[in-house]
Amino acid sequence: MKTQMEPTRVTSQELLARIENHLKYSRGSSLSSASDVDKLWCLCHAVRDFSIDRMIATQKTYLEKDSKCVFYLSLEFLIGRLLSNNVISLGLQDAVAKVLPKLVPDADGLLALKQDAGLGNGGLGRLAACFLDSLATLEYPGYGYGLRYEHGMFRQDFADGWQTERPDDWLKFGYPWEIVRPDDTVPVLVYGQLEDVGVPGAQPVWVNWQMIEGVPYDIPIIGYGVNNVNALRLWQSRAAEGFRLDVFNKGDYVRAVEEKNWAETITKVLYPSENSHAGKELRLLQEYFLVACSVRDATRRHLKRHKDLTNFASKNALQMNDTHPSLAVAELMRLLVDEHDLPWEKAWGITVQTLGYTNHTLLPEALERWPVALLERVLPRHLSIIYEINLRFLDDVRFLYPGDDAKVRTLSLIEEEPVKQVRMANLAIVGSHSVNGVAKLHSDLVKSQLVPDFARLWPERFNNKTNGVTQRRWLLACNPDLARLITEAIGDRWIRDLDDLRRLEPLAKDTAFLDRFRAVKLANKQRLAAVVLARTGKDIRLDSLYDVQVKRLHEYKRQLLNALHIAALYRRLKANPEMDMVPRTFIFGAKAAPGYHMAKLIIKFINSLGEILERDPDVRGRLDVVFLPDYNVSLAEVIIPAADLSEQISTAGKEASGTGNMKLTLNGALTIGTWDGANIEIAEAVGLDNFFVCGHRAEEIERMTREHSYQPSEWLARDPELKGVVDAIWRGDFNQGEPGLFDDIGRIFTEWGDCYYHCADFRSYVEAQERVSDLFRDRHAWARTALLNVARIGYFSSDRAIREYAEEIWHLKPVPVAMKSLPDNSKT
Amino acid sequence: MSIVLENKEGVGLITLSGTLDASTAETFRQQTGTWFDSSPLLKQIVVDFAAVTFMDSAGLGTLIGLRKQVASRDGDLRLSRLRPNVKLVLEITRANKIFTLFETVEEALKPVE
Repeated sequence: MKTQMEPTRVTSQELLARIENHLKYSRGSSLSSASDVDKLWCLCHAVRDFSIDRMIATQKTYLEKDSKCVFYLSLEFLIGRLLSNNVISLGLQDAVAKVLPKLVPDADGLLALKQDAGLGNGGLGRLAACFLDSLATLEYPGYGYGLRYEHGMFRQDFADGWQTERPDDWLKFGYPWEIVRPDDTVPVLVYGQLEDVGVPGAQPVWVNWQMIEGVPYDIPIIGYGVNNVNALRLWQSRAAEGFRLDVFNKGDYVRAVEEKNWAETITKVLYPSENSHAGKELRLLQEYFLVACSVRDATRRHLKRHKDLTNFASKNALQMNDTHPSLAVAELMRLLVDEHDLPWEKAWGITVQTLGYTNHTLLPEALERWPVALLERVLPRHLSIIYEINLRFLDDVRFLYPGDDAKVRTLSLIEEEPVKQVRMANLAIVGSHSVNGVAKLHSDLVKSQLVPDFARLWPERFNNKTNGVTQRRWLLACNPDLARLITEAIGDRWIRDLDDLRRLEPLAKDTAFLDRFRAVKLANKQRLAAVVLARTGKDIRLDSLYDVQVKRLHEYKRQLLNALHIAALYRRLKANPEMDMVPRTFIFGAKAAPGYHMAKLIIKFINSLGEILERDPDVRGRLDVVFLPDYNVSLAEVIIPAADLSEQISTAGKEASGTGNMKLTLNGALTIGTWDGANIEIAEAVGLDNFFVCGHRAEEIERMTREHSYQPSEWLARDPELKGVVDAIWRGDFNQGEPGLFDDIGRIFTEWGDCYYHCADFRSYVEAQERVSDLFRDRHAWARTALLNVARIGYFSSDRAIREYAEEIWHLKPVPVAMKSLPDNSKT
Repeated sequence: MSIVLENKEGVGLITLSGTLDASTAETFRQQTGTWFDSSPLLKQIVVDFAAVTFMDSAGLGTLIGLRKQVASRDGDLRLSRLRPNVKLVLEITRANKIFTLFETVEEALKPVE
């Protein structure tokens, strides 16, 4: 019985035979006549086949051992493409490499057809995907629950420098990794009222609801080097049987179909922003739909092994990724009390012990609040449960703080004014035994600024779990040359234990090794330059410093600060064309929420800057700006290995953690960053001498905000270069003949108070950039510093993060899966 | 949907098959209402759900209405042989607390003690 996975002994002939089998029997085609899409689909399907025995064995093992499981509830799972990772995890690299040329002459072209599963916006969704990878690899029983959005994150194009959006039809050709499970379909009730039907002693009945159904689709999550194959279960909505049949029967076929379609719209589209969906009824339905399907599924699994739910908390953990799934508190209570007849106190104990809540933001607009009137209409029973939870909770608060009405108002689940709303973060905190932030600073700010009264009430509930990224995707798969170099030097243990990268440190003094390290970076820059040329037509210099900022476009992330620096460098060069300047290529990748005017204007501003630089012979080739459209996981996998400099310049106190900072460091980029989020821990890990710190600290920003002492005009007056840039924006230097185009950007600094503190941090940032340039001039010293960054980044593996969650929040133990023999499906 | 109405030694038995939903609820309401009104001695009603594959909120609404009619005679509305998906709907809505549920028709037909 093997618990460590043996390499899957699949020959290329066996793999090819399986592909041909799928071409014939799944697609009705053949190797000679199939389209490239068909071939790719069948390659994926063939690879998936090799995980199925392990997946079945994993489920059987967890069930037989009655293992405690974690269910990770997230509205987003940004899994990107799975082929490369799955091939690596299953040890099929050699077979695939040999088969690809037999499928098509251009293997890269075939692989480029892969569609990203864009089921998320940014950090929060990508974190969830990394966590699933680590759960499986560390042999933890863990499942993801999410939604199968028909349209994931929108596709971004640029038209005259402006962002335009079009739908992402990622399911257009089907999705070979998923397995539909119609037997596990669950009903979900929404809308209606509670009605007292006049039965003595009976509670009001939920009437006049609409029923929709959740159909699960499972995506195997294949652990690396182990037999464990967990699953990501995505729910798709559909109309229940009999949906509006009365309308059908009255002959209004079109209206009936429209209403049927309404049920299906719940999982039609991903909301294109991590923040702020205030009042959006469909979003509320999405959140409840996920929760209702998932909680029922988790309890159904439990009841396979147990007669009731009284020990549910000892066998199951539900982690809420941000407040989006926080209706789980009310739903689990409803299920325990209404459907399983548990007394309220007993049900409440189970609920709190089962649930954990991860906070991801301090931004006020991202703290969800749902109007009571909306909840009452959509989820009447849940609102009554929330009221009951609040009543009992506030009784405790009044007992602890007699006469302190202000405390009661702050802690209440209900915000009374100006509109009566349910505070979902409060609900999540009250209903969970653990509340964690995602970096040390962020967790401290959650306690000190976001919910200080809760932190004083239940200090034991609050904890930190600094984020991490999976090295299997963010080094092994996306940067194979660097992975190979590292493995040659220290072996491959780092793939499962990233701390092992420490053993690279002595090589920072090894000139020959550093030369190879630089050669890998150069090769990755060549790969990126080819992509840039193909997508934008720009030919970028390989010897320039690749200065990279890739992340969602949001003012607090301060892409605009980066742009101000570019504009300042441009003006310096125009004033002194002969000056010595390190050539730089500024590379951006970012999507703006479609309704976020300023974010879209910043994209236009950066693109305009890029055009001006490109047209100007004084700067061409010395300063380049590339804004790659449609930034997604796959593009990140090309950009990140090529980056020299990682821009992590959020306003201090605003970024919860960031994970791009970790990925870029892991791939040998140096960081210029504010003292914010996980930057702080990264800087401490790699050493302050190896990290370019800039900007004000969170406590300084907080003090200026609290005292209303920040006057951007004073900073402008003190800094002629900054003033010159802002004047140039107002003058229209970057407008390209469209007067007033960027006035709103000018207003940020001169009229709107610069609430993200660009002016305050500009000089510090520019000086840090000068230190960057100085170091880059010494390519050897740069490489040495970059290698030290790689060697010291091991802590930021999602394996470490998941181990902390498992041990400290979920109380989960690894469950190795034994296999009697290699999978039968290794033979076709 | 088909509805069969019988008097089983003083207990009303309604045997349904098909779906009890928005398209059939009105028929159910009319037929059972008329029958109940014309059978003044009936106090106990049993609905056999064995062949009911689906019930929506309109269907539940008619059951609640019938229950009120029966209760007005101090009677009892009993549901038997519910399929899991139909029973689940009753549990979610807490309607299972206002009806008496039975595994078999025979048990349900037993007189109230």
